[in-house]
Amino acid sequence: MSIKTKRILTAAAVAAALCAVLWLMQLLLMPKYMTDIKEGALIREYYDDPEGHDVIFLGDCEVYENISPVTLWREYGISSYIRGSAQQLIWQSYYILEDTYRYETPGTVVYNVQSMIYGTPQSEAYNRMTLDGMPLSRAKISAVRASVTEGESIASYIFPLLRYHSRWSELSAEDVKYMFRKDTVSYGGYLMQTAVRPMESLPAVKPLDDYTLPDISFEYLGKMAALCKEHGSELVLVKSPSLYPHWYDEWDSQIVKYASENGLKYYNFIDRSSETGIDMSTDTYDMGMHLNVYGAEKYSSYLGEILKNECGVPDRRQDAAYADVWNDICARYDEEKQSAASSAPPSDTQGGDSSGGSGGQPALSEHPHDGYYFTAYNTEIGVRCPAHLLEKMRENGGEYRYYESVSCAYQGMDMIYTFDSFEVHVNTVDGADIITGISILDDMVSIPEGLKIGDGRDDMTDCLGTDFEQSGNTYTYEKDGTLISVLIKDGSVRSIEYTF
Amino acid sequence: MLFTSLGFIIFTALLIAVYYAVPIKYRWVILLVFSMIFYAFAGLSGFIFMGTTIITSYIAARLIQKAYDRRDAYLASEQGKALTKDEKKAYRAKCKSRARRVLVPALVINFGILALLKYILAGRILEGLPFLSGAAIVLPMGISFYTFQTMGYIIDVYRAKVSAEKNILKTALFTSYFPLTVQGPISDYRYLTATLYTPEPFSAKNIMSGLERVLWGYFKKLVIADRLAAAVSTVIGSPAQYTGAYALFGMILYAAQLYADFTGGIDITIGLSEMLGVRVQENFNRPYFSKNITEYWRRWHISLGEWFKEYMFYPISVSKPMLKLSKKARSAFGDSVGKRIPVYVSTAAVWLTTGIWHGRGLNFAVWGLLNCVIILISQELMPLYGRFHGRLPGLKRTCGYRAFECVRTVFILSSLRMLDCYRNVPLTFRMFAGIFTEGRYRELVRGGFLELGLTGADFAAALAGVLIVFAVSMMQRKGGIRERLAEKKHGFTLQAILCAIIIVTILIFGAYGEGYDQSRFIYNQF
Amino acid sequence: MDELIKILKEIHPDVDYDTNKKLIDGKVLDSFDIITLISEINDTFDVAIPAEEIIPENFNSAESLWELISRLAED
Repeated sequence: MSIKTKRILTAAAVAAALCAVLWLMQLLLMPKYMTDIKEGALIREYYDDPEGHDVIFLGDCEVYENISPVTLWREYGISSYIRGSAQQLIWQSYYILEDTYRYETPGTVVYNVQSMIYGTPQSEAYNRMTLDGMPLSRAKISAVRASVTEGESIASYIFPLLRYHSRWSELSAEDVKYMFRKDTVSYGGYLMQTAVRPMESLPAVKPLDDYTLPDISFEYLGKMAALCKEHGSELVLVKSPSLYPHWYDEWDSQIVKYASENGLKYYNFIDRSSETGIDMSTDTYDMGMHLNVYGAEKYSSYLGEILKNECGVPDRRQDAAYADVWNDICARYDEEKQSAASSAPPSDTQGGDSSGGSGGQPALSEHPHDGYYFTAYNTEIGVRCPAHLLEKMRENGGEYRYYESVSCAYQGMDMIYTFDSFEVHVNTVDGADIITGISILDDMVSIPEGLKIGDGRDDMTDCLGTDFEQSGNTYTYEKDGTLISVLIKDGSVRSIEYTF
Repeated sequence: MLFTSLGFIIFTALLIAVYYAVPIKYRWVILLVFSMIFYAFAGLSGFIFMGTTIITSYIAARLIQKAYDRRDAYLASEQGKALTKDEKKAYRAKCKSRARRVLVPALVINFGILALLKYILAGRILEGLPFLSGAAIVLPMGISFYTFQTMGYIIDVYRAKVSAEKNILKTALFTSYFPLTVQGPISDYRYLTATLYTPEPFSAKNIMSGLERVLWGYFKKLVIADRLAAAVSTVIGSPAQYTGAYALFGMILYAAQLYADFTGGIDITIGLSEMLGVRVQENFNRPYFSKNITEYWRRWHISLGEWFKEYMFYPISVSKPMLKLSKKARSAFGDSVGKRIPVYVSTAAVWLTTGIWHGRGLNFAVWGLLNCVIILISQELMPLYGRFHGRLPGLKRTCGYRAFECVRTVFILSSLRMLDCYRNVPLTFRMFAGIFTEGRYRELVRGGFLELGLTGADFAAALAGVLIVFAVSMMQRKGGIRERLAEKKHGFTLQAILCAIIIVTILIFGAYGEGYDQSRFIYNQF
Repeated sequence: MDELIKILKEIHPDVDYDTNKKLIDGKVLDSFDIITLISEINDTFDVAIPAEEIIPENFNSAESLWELISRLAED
């Protein structure tokens, strides 16, 4: 062998070994989502057994936490799979569907319309949980292209090592254990929640500047419909019975219009609680945002009826091949449900335990006079003030209702205190609860500058001046890092919000 | 295009593939094309300035050369030979001044552009001018480097050290050769063009050895420099908050960051050039091992020091006015003062200019002058040192004393660099004094250092990186590591494995990607 | 030539200028020494050494330096 050939062979061998090592490192360093934030494991799990489904569900937490395929199977013999993920955006739903067609062709595709409200990528963490689980394909690359937020590189989705390499300092036994194989965390894509946390009240419904759903959502909805048609599937639109975030009637009518114009079925389950039997005092695990397993079973039972009767989804219970698969899933499902029921109710809050990050802590101030502030019940509050001021309000006679809103996969929690005429948002930042927003709800109160709901635009400039930034119908004033946003519609003030 | 971007890696891979696919004779053309593409990524407006430099220097060099060629031809002719010695001398002087009449405007134009962009337009003075919208005010990439390098060339032609290049495209390549435009080295024309215009033929040795050097550069940049950057900018960004021990800590971190960043970048430049068969001068020679500041400046950013010595220090100190001044001073104040005049004046001029070259602002000028003062003081103290060491023979050679000298050098330099960090002269002096008066050392050690934006793991990784660099520097005292490795029995295989190990290390422990900026806090919770 | 050696000896008394041919390459003379030297030469021989002549070949040995001085005096 000449030196040249020898060297080429050596280089090739070393390069191959290098690739192998990098591949192993990638397996080791990628988050496993096996015990914590299981939402991240959902998309990948589908590919373990990607066939034999007559119905595919697409959407965000309103599908993977609210629909139980086990109930659909038991009651109607419907073989389904939920291809949902935390804050799945509509273009991601579209490309996931495109990818699904590489493996199977379901007769019915159900898309939950909640995510229609988002026209832009929301967060890198959610993108990752939705996209990392897809095997490399053209659909994946298209999904990545459509989803990346500012500063993200497409390459890091193709080679996730480039993204997760910095996890070397936080590796745990779980990372080694699940390097090559993963547990199944879902039941046909359903993530079971067994806790009960009744809904007591809901935050006030705030008027929006613009109710128009983004064009891009309709564009992808159209693409989704065309894709289904091409493969002979029926596309069905649903809105799950979750009550928060608020689903505006203005949004609903746009979906209704689109569905009727395009010959699609659309079911809004929010107002059908009398028929579904969902009771938000027992059937939710997070105060009305998502259903727990009991609620999911009721919703699924109702949904299954529709799928069977109106969409003609077949009953597969007599088919042994289907039954084998589903019996396994049902057994696992019952086991988890029972063990949860017999053990003490697990702590149901995930938030509040901020892991003491460093730096960047906003300065707390008891006296909010430097920026914009608000006065009620003899107490002055402003954004960045500590939340215990709200207790002072209560002592002075201010009654409030409390609501917690946890986002799909944990990314912090909103604590919402609703007083009679205003509402205060609190978040935990670096271990401290601070006020992050105040919204004025009606014309019973006015802000210290004198403005109140229902005033005209001239009143606004009289009270706050003309040094504002305008975006649409919203006027924003800035003072020492605090902001007041005023929404004016049809000539009168509709909402006033403090933020920073 | 940053050296550390994925785009740059793809760009280089493409270049190497195309480069070796064409015959050796035309490879310089490929380099020119890629350099232009590289430069275009940094914004098209830069072409105007670089184009001006290329065209003016090409024309100047050619005109000077023409004057000299005509002179030589005339002197060689019958007519020329017939001239008397004095006539010849006068004729030569006339030609020289003709050449000078070409050189000076070329220098004025090019340094004028540099000064205008760097010191005037980049400032606020002309910000309101309508024809200069935001983008145009951004300094064209590498302008300080390529201007100095190209001016060095035309001065060399004027000095008849080299002859002028006839092909303008080759001058264009000399000015724009992309690995040098980011941060130098400011290369000598004769040295660089020897292999830039006709590179060394393809060899596995060059590729392997260059690749190792490039990877080593990335290691320094990504594992050490880019990681420490966060902590350094935290400390520097809030001088009121980070005083005393923190300022000292920031100073040390900055010394490591700057070294890793600058030498790492130069490693990438030189290594990449090596892969292309182009030899580029070294810019560093393990500078932190210097015994004193004078030596340090011979070992750190060598090309800049050489440039100033060659084109500024010598010309000023041997100029006729200077010699006259020296003579006068001798008769007025005696030999010892008179002798020092040229040295002092030219050193001060050089350092003031070096300071200003680094940036606009008083802090840089002060930085330059302080360097000058320290160098001159240590020059004056030489005899005293000599006597000191005469009394304690052997001390100079002990390890402890050597280490003391190195630490002293690094400390003095880092102190001077605080001017570059804080960019405000009084503030810098306050912060420097605070190191000794403010204390807070206990606070820093007991967890304070973890509040600077880096985790314990980050510090551990950076420290490990620094120790590796230190160990490699110690090994380099016995000669190049790559050369020694290549001579071993399975040298090629060993080198390939070494490359693979460095790649894995960089990819895992490098500070890059989303994990290192806006969203890292999210993933801390995973 | 002797005068030149005398000047050189003043700068570095311990160097043997007859045999040392690497004054620059061997880092015997630094840039300060060179300036002092040129100024002394200018004083003694009335010869101005221009910047472009400051190259290692001209300063590496007393001999080559003497050649330079002679050549410049000639012109």
